[in-house]
Amino acid sequence: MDFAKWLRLEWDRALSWAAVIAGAIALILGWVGVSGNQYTAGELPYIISGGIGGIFLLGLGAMVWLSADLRDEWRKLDRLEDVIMQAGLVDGVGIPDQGSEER
Amino acid sequence: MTQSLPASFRPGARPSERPAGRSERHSYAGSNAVGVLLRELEPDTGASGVGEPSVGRSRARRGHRYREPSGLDWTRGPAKSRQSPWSAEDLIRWLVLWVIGAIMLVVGWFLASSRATLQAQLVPVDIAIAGAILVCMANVLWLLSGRRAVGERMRQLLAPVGELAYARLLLAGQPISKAGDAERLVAGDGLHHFHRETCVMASGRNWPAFHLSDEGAADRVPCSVCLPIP
Repeated sequence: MDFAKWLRLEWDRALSWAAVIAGAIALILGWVGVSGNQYTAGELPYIISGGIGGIFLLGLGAMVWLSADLRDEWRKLDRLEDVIMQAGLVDGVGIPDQGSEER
Repeated sequence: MTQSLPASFRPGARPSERPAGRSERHSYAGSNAVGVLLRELEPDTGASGVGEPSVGRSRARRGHRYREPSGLDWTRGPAKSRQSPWSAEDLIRWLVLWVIGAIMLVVGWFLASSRATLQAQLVPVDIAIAGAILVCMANVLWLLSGRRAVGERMRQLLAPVGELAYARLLLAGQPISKAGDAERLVAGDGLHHFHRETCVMASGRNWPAFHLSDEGAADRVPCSVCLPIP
């Protein structure tokens, strides 16, 4: 599978990796900025942008990755539902269509 | 081994023979999986004969939504029509919290970097930390609502399967084949049921295989779909 196809199919995981990598880079840059500064007042912006910002991006990456897992699980349930319906365990009679509700 | 239909599930069973705890309105044929199967497999049986309120079927024919009080309503809750575990409400909540948190983070950073003293930077730092907490909260709520939707749908989807499959076998009068000692069974680590290797519930799982006499089957119960009954 070529990269473009993988990117199209697994865009959420690609986004997750991008966020994690960006978060790691932000943490490293923040550390470099803090270590090169003598004054606490000069270090704080790096702590916010690099430290908190990096954690923010890492959290986003983790969230997107777990969301992708949940979406996969949802699709798997779709397939399972199809199998159950096709097996005839539940169909036609007594399982009316959606939309209208008995009042 | 062929098993006969329990008396309480036979067509024409008197109310006294029906499972206890169900009201007349929620009698078996109108409210649970066996009832669905009875209606399907015995189309000639009149509605009154199987204890089903006649209005139920006519409403179903007209396309009304049929309620399954025993939790077997396949049309309720998170449905297949939803493309993902999240609703629009979940998305809006996540976006609002996330955007506010991100803005607070950026504003905190901007204010902190433009002030020269530590004392003056404390408030911007607090703003940035609050923003980060808000974003974390948005992410956690997002994941929890997704997890809840998947779990709920899984329960709705899988709970009736065992009852339905078993009832179908009973109603069709088909022999339930026993699982022999030589048959390969599978089960996931830490899971409660064991399955035949060909069971749809075990499909694509790559669970470890074992035989009926092995330890793997000892502390588990047979799957209700493939019925690997000893």
